[in-house]
Amino acid sequence: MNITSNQVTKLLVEWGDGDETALEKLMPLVYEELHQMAKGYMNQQNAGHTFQTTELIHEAYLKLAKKEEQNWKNRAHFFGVAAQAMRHILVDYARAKQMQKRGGTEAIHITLEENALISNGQPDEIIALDDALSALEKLDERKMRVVELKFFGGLNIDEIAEALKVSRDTVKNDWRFAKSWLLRELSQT
Amino acid sequence: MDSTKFQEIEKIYQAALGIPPEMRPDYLTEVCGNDDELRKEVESLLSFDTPSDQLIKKTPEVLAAEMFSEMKQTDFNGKEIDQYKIISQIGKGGMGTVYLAKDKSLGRKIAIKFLDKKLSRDQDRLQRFFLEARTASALNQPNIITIYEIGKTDDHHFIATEFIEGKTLREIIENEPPKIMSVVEIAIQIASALKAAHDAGIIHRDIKPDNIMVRPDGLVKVLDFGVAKLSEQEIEAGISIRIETQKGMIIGTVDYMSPEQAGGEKVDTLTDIFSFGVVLYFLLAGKLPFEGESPGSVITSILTKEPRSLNEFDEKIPAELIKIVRKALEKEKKKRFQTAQEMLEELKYFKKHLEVSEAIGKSGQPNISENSPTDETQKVETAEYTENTDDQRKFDLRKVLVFSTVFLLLVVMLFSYWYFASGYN
Repeated sequence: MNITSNQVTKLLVEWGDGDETALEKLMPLVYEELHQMAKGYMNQQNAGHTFQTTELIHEAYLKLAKKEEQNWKNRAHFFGVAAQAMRHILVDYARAKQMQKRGGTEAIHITLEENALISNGQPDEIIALDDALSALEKLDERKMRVVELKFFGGLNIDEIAEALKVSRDTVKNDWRFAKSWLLRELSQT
Repeated sequence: MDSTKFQEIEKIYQAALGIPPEMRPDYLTEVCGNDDELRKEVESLLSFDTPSDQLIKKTPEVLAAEMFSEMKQTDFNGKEIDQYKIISQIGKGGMGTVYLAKDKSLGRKIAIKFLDKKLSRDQDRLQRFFLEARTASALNQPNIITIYEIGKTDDHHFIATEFIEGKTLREIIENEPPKIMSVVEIAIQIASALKAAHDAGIIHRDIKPDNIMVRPDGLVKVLDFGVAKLSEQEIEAGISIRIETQKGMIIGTVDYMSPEQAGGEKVDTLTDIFSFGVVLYFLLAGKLPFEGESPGSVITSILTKEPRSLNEFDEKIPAELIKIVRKALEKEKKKRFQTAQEMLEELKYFKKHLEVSEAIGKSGQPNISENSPTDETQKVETAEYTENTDDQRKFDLRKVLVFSTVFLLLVVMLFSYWYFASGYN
């Protein structure tokens, strides 16, 4: 994929100005970049090493948007897209794994997976969370966005406030209510 | 629930959070009135209020880490790459993963090895690797695995080779230690492979039982020619060695390293001779010549210790063979066999010697007929010499010569016996 940082910056600005189609164009770029970077990042680490999604997203931003465009606003916008991309990446993978499990032909393979399922509790929590977030989006899109930024993007209250152009208090309240609501949803699945 | 209701619930929820918990029931009675459903909603949501920011057991960081560590090992099972249909995984090593595949255009089974991405990242090494793989592909020696194709898919480099049905030397040793004659037959073929490679300027660098396969018909195949260069371990200060572990498995072994390799020096063809010596020792003794609890202590052992005599393990191992192994295991390069050819000659010479003594042992007189001691040997010899009819002739000639000499000797002995016996009379 050949994208220039100018393109990314332009799309970020457009999206920041309210152009939703810019996000659609930006999303696959960021998704791909994060995916590639995370893979590369993991290759350098020992298996099982945990890394910060924020760290990764920040690196992706530096790579995609380059230094001349590192102003605070664009960065916040980018983080918004990246958090969303992160959510999709994790959920896509969990779904793919689930499909694999169902479509598995080897009996042993299935048994092993099933064991993992019992011992780890619910490995598909992430899918349940994704569903709950989609339900939340229908009721209150901004709350869903706050959760996405905080949970998947690792952003702090200030950064979320900047990205969503709302006050810090709004972010705090949104997070607290959304959290209760999501936890209740998840407890019912 | 619609968003209006949702907003209403949130408003009460936020307000309730703003007052002390003990005052909340009264507040809820006040705002919800008779709307029990609304009250229940708010109350249940309040019960889920927690200072923790955790939503699910595993944080996205943990999930991502798990995901990417699993993705590290890209699964090619069932995939189609160029004309190859991947069937199943057959092996995994420090260099990458090997799959059994079917070449759809030619309808034959092949083995396809995908290089680990981290190895592909170093362009310089990758270039050198391809150069060597290309050279190795031109080797065309029956004891060296045939390379069909070196290619790239998406971001994975792969090598397609002939598929060898058989066992690795490691599997053979672990199942049942081979007899002396089989060891020698295997050794001759490994030496032939090394000779061909060295003649072409290729150093294997990673001769070990896992890289040597024996087919059911006895034909030996040396794998991974030139590949080893990519996975060369980085050794600093002689002793500290970087061993990459993955799920507790040690990738790359120091057990078969030559002293110069272990010492981090530049290696040449003689490194293969040493490693080959370690393999032979292992085949005969069932134990490694240089042991240690850690890679570091193995290296120290390689650099400083003399291996135990092979006779300590089995007193039936012939002295000539022990001498060959010892010479391959000389720490000083100039004391080792200087070429694979030289070692090959010695091994062949020893094999003739062994055949003759076995033949004498069996029937009391040398067996001059074309029958080799075992069918297996016959097959191996055929495989070994399919390429070279000159060698075949030389070989036959030498065989005849050896047998004639032994025969002559017997005649002389009989004659002397007769002479002395009659003289005495």
